[in-house]
Formats: sequence, C-alpha cells, structure tokens
Amino acid sequence: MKNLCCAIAAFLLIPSASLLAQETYVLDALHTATSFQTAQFSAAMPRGSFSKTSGKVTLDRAAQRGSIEVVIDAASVVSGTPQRAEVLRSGEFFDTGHFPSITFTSNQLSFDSATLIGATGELTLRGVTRPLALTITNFKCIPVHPLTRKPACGAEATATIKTSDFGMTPRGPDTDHIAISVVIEALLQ
Amino acid sequence: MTAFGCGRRIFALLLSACWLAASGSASADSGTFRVDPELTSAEFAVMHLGISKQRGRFERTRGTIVLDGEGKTGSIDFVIDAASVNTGWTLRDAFLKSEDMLDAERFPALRFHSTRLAFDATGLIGVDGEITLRGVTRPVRLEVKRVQCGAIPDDGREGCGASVTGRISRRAFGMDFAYPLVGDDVELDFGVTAFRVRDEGETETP
Repeated sequence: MKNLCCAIAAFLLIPSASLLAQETYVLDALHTATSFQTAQFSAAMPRGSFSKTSGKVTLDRAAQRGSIEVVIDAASVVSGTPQRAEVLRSGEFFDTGHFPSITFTSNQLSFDSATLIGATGELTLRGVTRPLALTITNFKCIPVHPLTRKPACGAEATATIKTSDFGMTPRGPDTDHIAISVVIEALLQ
Repeated sequence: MTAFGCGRRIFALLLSACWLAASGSASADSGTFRVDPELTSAEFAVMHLGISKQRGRFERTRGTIVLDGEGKTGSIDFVIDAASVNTGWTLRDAFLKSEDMLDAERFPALRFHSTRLAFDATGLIGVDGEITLRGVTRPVRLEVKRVQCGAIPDDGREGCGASVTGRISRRAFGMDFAYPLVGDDVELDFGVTAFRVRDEGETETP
C-alpha cells in the first residue's frame, strides 16, 4: 500500500519525480581533506594538504545524476612544517591573501550502476576557472554513521592539474603537474 | 639571512627540481646523510568507518642515514616528534597525543632504527628495522622507491630524496582506542630528503 502511494505521488509530481530519489549529502569537514603533490615524483617537492574543505553533494543514484560543490579554504594549507605552509600561501603559489577560496563545481556526474565514479566540472584556483574531470574511487556508503546516526558516504576524488594553467609559474618541468586527492566523508542531510 | 629566509630559499631551489643528475654513481649513494626536517614529510593514513581513508602527518622529524652503496650496507635512524602530529583538526590531534594513543607526554619520540638495508642494482630498495612507539618495539619492513640524488647548484650541497612506505598495526603498539571504527592498519608514507654531512662532527645522535 505504501509503495502504491509513493508511486501515485511520483506520478502526480512528474516534473520533480527524480527529486524523490535525490539525496543531499553535506561534506563532513572534519573528515574531508584535500592533498596534493607533484604528479611526477620529485623527492624535493613536499606534499601538502588543505585541512578545511567544505561543500555538498547531491546524488540521484537511480537516475545517475547529481552535483558537487566543494570549497577549499586556501589558507588552511599545511605542508610538513609551518614555514613551508607560509611559502605555499604566498603570491608565488596559492596567493591566499587575494584568493582565499579554491572551488570545484560539477553538475555532470558519472556512475557505474549506482556507484559514483567521476565528475566533470570547473575548478577555480587563484581566480582562474578551468574545466576539470575528477576520477572518483572507493565510493562507499554506510546506512548508519555511529555518531550522527545518519547515512554516510565516503570516497576519494583525484585529478591532475597544471599549475601554469592557473597563473602559477612552475620552477621546473616536473613541478608543473600536480596530483590532487580529495578524501571525502559526507552525511545525508 | 634569517633561518626562515634560508629555509625558504632552499625550499624554492628544490622546488625548481634542480637536483643535478648523479644517481647511480657510488659517490651519490655512499656517505653519511642528515635528514632535512624542512624537506621531509612523515604522513600516515587509516580507514575511518570503513568509508574513508583519513590522513595525517608529523611536522617534526630528524635522523641520520649512513649508506655504503658499494658494500650494500648502512644504517638508518629516524626520529619523529610525537607531539608534532597534525591532522588539520586540533581536537583530533589532542586525542592522538593523549594517553590512549601516542601518549606523547610519556613517549615524546617515535623511533625507527635499522642496520639491515636491501639494495638492488639500482640502489636502496628496502629497509628492515624496528619501530618504537609508546615504548613498544616491533619489526617493520619499509619499501624505498624513487631515490634521487644530486647537488643543489647554488651551494653544492649534495643530497638524496626518496619515497619510503610501510604499514603497521596500531593495536600491536597498544593503541586500541576506537577500533574497529578507526582501522587497525596504518599506512606510513614518508618523503625523505637528506643532505650529505661533510664534517662528521655535524652528525647528531638522534
């Protein structure tokens, strides 16, 4: 009977029918972090990460649709030592004084059946917006988060960018390509 | 030039990827090297709730590496300051430093020691040693990859960098808290840069 009611409700609300299956997840900022390192290994290039990453993800797994909005606090960069973080905040790198946020938005998600495997969207870094395709791996959900009691999902998103595309001047050929990895944990709203 | 300015300059130089190619020669991989804390990353990762791999790092490291590339012997001493843990969340860092986990007050140093180095034709590829954590010592095998050696053209300092990885069971060291919500298997991922010690007197005993 309940199923029938739902079917009727969905039928009556055809334009927004897909929304019934759409779920909105809010990134758990305390368990979401963005890290980066030179794509071509350079021992001298220290890895770094941004500890403050926030945003939300909408998913309609049945319809294989959704969106992603991620905002990274550029000044939250850490890199092994405080001195290194200071260099990365400077005008030579992320220029956090002028560009406090790094953002990624996408309305084009790709799925393998109900599993999220990719997102094509736009990255804005140092005020420059460019298309970016993220590969998403390890997409896993649990029905009950032990603390919040809400459904939760985790995933890892990776991509490689060229710093010269975003107004940074690479000091060598093997420091231009940077591999980015975002570890995400998100709770159903 | 201030210490900070100097560190910044070296950092920028290294970012320019200006290691002069010298890997493979005996001179490049023999000698005593001191770990440069500013150019060394000590990261770890552990599964959380089975859905995400959480990462953290230690910000203060030191150590000494002695290599004899021809004799294929050497030793490594590497020390991490337990209180320098940084996961980007102050509350979690405080918890990691607490008695239940690293117990940083009683055990301020995490130590790695090895005199069993594995080489192949290309150089150092692995290290068998012991990790001491919370006063507990356990054997561990670390893989060494992508060793790069060379000199900074600016001041001629010779150094080597390498990617070093391994894994440990945190419970084997008595850190049971929040298991199994937080996994037992901890991945270790170090990017180590070390410079040749020209005068043996420079070597610190960690």
